[in-house]
Amino acid sequence: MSWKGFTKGVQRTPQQIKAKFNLGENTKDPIYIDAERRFSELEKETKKLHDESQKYFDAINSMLSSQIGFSQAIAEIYKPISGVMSDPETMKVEGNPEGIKACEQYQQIVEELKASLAPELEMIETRIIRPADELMEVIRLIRKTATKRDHKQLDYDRHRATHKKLQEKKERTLKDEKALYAAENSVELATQEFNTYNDLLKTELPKLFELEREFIRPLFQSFYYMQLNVFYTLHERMQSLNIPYFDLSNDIEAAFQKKRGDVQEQAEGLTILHFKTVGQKASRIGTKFNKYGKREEEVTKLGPEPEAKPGMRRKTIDSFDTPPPAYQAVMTSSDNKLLTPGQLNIGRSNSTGSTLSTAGKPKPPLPKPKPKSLAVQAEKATAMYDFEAQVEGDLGFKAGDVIEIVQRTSNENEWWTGKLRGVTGQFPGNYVKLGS
Amino acid sequence: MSWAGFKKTVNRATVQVMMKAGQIEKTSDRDYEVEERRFRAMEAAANKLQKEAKGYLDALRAMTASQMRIAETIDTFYGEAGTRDGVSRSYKQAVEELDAETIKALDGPYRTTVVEPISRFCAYFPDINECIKKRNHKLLDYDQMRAKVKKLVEKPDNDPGKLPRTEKEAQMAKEIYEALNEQLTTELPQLIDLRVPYLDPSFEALVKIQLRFCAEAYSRMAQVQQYLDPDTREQYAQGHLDHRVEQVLQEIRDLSIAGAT
Repeated sequence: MSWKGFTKGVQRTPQQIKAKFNLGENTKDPIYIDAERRFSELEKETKKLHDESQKYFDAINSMLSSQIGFSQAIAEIYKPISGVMSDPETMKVEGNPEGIKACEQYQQIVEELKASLAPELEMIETRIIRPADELMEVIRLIRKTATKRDHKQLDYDRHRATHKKLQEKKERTLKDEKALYAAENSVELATQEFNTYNDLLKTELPKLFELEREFIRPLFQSFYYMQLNVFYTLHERMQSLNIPYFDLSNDIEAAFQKKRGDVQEQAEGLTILHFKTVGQKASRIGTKFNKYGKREEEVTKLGPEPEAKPGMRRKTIDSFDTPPPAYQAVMTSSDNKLLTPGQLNIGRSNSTGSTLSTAGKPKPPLPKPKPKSLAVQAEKATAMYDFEAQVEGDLGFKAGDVIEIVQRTSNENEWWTGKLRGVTGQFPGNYVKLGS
Repeated sequence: MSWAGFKKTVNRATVQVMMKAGQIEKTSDRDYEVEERRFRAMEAAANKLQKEAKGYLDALRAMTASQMRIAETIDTFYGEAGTRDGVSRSYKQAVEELDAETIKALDGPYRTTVVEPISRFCAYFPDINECIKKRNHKLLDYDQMRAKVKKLVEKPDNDPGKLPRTEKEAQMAKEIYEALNEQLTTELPQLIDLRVPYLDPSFEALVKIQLRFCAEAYSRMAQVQQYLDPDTREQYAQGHLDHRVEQVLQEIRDLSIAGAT
């Protein structure tokens, strides 16, 4: 933007804002406003016409190239497929020679069609798209004039407002008089300019509309005939398509089904087509044997599981670092019992699921190897959590109770035996703290 | 990827590198390789077919959609002057009918007879490719086990049980590879042979649909002609219409609002 343009822009800004919020006096010329509306519409429609004819042109072209592409691809399908290209003997005649011939014929027809449509399509390009393009160019210029007129209107309103303000002043100083004189001049000039542009547009826009109609009529007629010709050529050429390979007489879908037969079922009977779903499972039988060694390992690993299982909460077994070897029988029950603290802490949920998930929760972190303070008689331990007896033989206690230890191991994650208030029973070692 | 899968991938990558270096012998099955190449050729052709079949439908739709919008535009231009000659209206109607009746009516058959069968055929490929991939992996596993056996034979291990164990594993690997290989080698040619009967009906259907479309489009378009002056056709052929367009365009340019002043 030039400096001059910039200053003008700045000068006009206040008035522009006023116009936007409809403050003060703003000129409104209903005739022009209507003409402008029509012009905007015309602008839009011309653009649409231009774009759409371009799209139309492209669509026809791509339709034809798709036809050609399709016939090329199908010819490739029909051709015998050899895995050894360099060896001509592998080109077995298992393809479809009639089909290939039909393809070639079809392709030829479409090629011809494309060739004969080319000038027609060319005409859309030169006679529709280009004129529309040129019209758009002119419309852009006219839009510029309209913008100029809007600017002049702003100037006109602006100067008028200044003038009015000065005139309304009760006591004018010498300076004001001077300014008033200048303002009068400006108003006169602005009025002149505004009127020139406004009148110009008002008289010429209708002319433009008239001409546009004049313009669109032959354009449309041309377009129509071009289209008609395109369709005529398409129709003609396709009608002349006389390939014995195709049975053109009957219904599309019925003929398709008839010709197709049960090929789809046949093809889908092949197992490799369902490899991801079925095939892989089928081949898994083999996998089992293959990994025999590994399987065996797994089995051995899982071996003791059934024994530990009666408690049906074998998950907790993982939290033991060394399952007490001597207590196989006790294990089963202790396995059971170990869960209960968790249950207590969460308010005795009976659902196995929640027991499992919370079983380890209140427990202290995994044990560190403790110095082996070999079972000293009358060793005491203080309960850190409540423990309610679950099965017969359990020793229940409340947090803070002091338990006399009867028997314990060096691992606090095991079940120890203790005595409290004359009762002897088992309890989880990690629920208590040694010492009283 | 699972940990087991990851281990396998790493392991197989090592085997491949060793094969390249000539450390491990590579099994090659010529029959299978021929079939795989044939399958690849067919896969490419079928995928192209799918693309073109869809392209035709898209182009057809784009064409009628453009026509409709052009018709609307023309109608707007004419509209202000009132539909004096009914041409634009009749054109619009013809185009709309073409879209609503011809295209929509052909859309279904085109999809059921052309697009869908071809897409279905192409949808088989991922499974087959998965199978081929698996087969290649199993082959690698087998080759690796075999190489291990060979090494043990040449340089016996301290553990006398190691060789029979490895041999057994190699045998297992061989069996599983051969099962997959066999499956592919027998079934790939079957599928390749089925391609023609499978896809051929679609070609005929496509041609028929095109024929019907062209015929209907032409007849619908031709109806509009009766609303036009008989001599416009002549004018068009002579290039008068274009001349007129140019002339009006010039007049528009000459307007002073167009910056001619």
